[in-house]
Amino acid sequence: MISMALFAQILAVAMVVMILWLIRRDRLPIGHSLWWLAVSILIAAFGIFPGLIDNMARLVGVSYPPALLFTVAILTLVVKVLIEDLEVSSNRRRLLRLAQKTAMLEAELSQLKKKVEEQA
Amino acid sequence: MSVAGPLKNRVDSGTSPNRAERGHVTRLKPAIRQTLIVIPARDEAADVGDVVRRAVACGFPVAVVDDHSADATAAVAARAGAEVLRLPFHAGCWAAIQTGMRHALAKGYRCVVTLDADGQHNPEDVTALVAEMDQDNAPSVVIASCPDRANQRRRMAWRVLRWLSGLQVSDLTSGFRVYDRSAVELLASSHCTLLEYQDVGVLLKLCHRKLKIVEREVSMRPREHGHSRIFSSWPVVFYYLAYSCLIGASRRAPPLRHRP
Repeated sequence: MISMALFAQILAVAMVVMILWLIRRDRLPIGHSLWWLAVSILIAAFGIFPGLIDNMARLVGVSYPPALLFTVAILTLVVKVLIEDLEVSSNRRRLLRLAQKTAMLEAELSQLKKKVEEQA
Repeated sequence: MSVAGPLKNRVDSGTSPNRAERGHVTRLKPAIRQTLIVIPARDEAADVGDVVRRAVACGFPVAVVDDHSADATAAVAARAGAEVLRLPFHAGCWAAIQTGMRHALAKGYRCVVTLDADGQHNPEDVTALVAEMDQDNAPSVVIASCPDRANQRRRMAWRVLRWLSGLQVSDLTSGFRVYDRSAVELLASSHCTLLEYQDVGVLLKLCHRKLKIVEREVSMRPREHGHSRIFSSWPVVFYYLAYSCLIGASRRAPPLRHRP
């Protein structure tokens, strides 16, 4: 059996390696990778120092520390997803504007072509 | 539901910045000479040709926005004499209408008339509706309504939506409307791009901008081919109702209402 600290370290290192690989492959923009690197550092910190979460739980009055860990983790993910949703909708807006513009330009172009052919 | 004040009050409250300006433009050129008919169409090859021909016969330039149809809609419309704008993917009815509006702005038109491609609306009615835009205290939007066409269930849905949104428009879903330049400028902006239907969300945008909306009754024909897109299947109806309720309740019309 391995200790929890070691397990958390392995998890964090694996995550860091994966993120660096994704950056290297140009799959993940740097801005997003900062977030995920911060997450892996937190995983490592809580794994290496289990006392950390115990102290925090006592501070906010949660009697079962892992519950606090899960609550914070879930809340963080919810906020992250919400932010992603906002980004998706702003991208959709841009995509639609672009699609409309291509339709307009295409129409304009075919009209110009017709005009040129008439003159020729 | 409270009843809005008499006509006089309504006119006073409609303080659109370019109201005075519009009167000036009117004298130069009547709206009828500067109107573009925009027809959003998706898989309407059966009817769109006839609609375009009739609109062109009335002397209007027509732009058909083809929402990535699988059939020959674009070709049929072009042959009938319309300018065709083709969206590169299926973007929805409102996105198609907005394309037409942006096109109209780019070309400098003063009014935009939207018609359904399925032949429900008579293009012959457009002339009378647009003529209204030249009068004093002209409205910004004229909705050609036909409340009689709705069945019991639809009427019920409209009543709920009116109650939720505070809108006082009898025919919420009519796709036959005349918009003046100020309305088109508002609706063509990117703030309005993510709207999905042209009814509650669009009308609320106009109301919040304090643009004057009036309704005029016209006769509409039942569809000959196909069926209503909104009322096609239960999940679609549910989405439409949930969407409209949410947008209506969250952006309720301001107390200053324009009763047609």
